[in-house]
Amino acid sequence: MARPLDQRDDHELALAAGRGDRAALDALLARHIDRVHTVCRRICGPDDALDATQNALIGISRAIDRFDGRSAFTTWIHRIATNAALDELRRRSRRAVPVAPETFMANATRSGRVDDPERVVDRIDIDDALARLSEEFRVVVVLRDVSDLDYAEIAATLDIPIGTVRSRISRGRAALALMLGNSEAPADVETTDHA
Amino acid sequence: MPETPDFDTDAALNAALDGELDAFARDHATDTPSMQAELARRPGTDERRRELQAVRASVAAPIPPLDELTRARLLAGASAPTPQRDTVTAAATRRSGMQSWVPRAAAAAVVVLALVGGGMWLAATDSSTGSASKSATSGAGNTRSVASGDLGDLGELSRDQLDRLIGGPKSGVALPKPLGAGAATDAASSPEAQSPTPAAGSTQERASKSERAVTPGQLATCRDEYERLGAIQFAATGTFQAQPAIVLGIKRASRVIVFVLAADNCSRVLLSVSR
Repeated sequence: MARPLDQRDDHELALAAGRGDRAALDALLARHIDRVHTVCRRICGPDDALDATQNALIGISRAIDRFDGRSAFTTWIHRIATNAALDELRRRSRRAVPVAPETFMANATRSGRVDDPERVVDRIDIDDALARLSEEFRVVVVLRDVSDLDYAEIAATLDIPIGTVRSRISRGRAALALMLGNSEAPADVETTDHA
Repeated sequence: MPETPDFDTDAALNAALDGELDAFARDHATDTPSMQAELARRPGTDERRRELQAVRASVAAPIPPLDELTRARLLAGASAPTPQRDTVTAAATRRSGMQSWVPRAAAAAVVVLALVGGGMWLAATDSSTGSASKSATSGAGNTRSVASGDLGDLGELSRDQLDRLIGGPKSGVALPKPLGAGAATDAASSPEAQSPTPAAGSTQERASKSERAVTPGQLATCRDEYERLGAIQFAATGTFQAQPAIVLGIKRASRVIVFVLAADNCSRVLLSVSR
C-alpha cells in the first residue's frame, strides 16, 4: 500500500508526479512554495515576487516529467525559480510603468499578522540593499545564500565561468556589507528603481 | 610547500565561508593549508570574515511565510496549466498583485509625502500658534522633528486621490491635522480644497473618529518602543482597514521607514514602507 504523501520524500513524489500523479504534484508544490517564493522575493524584490512565484510553480508543473533525479529536487526547483525570477525582472524592465515622482518600496504585511518591528526593519534593510545591487551580483548571492547552490551549480545555472561566480559573490557581498553597514551605495552598484 | 600566491582577500574569505576554499586554492596554484595560513597572516581578516558572515546571514534570513489565501491562490494557479490558463492566471496574479500592493504602497507614499509636508507645515506654524503636537514630542531624545496629526483612513484612498496627491507634492498635499487643533488651514492649498470631492468630507469624518480612537498614551507607548530603531521623524494617527492605527516615520541612515501600527499593539506592523 502506498505511503501517505506527507511521508514520501521529494524524489519519490517527483517521480510519481512525473508519471501524472496530480496529488503527488500538489503535495510537492505545497511543500516547496515558501522556498520558491523566498528565491523570487530575494531576486525580484517584494513587488514582483508573487508573479515570479506563480510562474515558477507553473514551470515546475510543466517540467516535472523531465525531472531525472540526477540533482536534488530542491536544486532543480531553485533553478526553475531563479529562471522565473530573472524572466520577471526582464519583463519588468520592458514594462511601460509610469514612474512616480517618489520611489518607494512597499513591505506590506497582512493585516492581523504580528510582526516584530526589528525583523521588519532588518527585512526592509536587506530588501533595500539587494534592490540597490545590480542584478548580476544579486542573483549569484541569492543562489548561494538562499538556494544554497555551490559555485559550480551557480555557474551551470547562469552559464558563466566559476571564476565569474566567485568574483561576483565577492563583490556583491562587499557591496551589501557596505550598504547594510552605513547604507551608502558604493560606486560599483546600481540603484534599482522601485516605482 | 607551494609559494604563497597573490590573491584577493575577500574572494578567499568568501570561498572559505562557502566551503569552496579547496577549489580557490587550486586555482591559485597552492593548497588549502597554505591559503589558510596566508589568510591568518593578513591583518583584519577575522573582522572581515565576521562582516561577510553577517551579510550571508542577512540574505539567508527567512522571509514571512505566505498567508493562506495567497498560498492557495498560487497553488491553484499552478494546477492544470494550459496556455490559456497561464495567460489568465498571470494576468490575474498581476492584477491581484497590483490590487494588493499598489494602493497600500501608494497610500503609504501619500503618508510619507503628507507627513513630510505636515512636518514642515507644523514646524512653520509651531512658533506662531503653539503646537498642539508638543505632547507627542516630549521624551524623544533623538527626535529631530516630529509631526503629529491625523491622516484619516490609510487604506481606502482612491487611486485618483493617490494620483493627484503623489503627482503634485509641490502643487499641494493634504496635510495632517494636528491633534486637538481644529485648523482647516492645512487643506487650504490642497487640490481637494480647490475642488472639493465627497471623499474629502468623509476623510475628515473618519479622521475625527480615529482621533478619538487613538489615545495620546498609545501614541507615546509606540514612540517609546520604536525609538530604539532610529530617530523618529514623525508620528501621526489614522485608521487602516477600519482599525485605529499609529503612523511612525523612523530615520535610518539615508532612508525613512514608515510604520503603520495597530494602535492597541505597537508590535503589530500593519504596513511598512521605505523610501
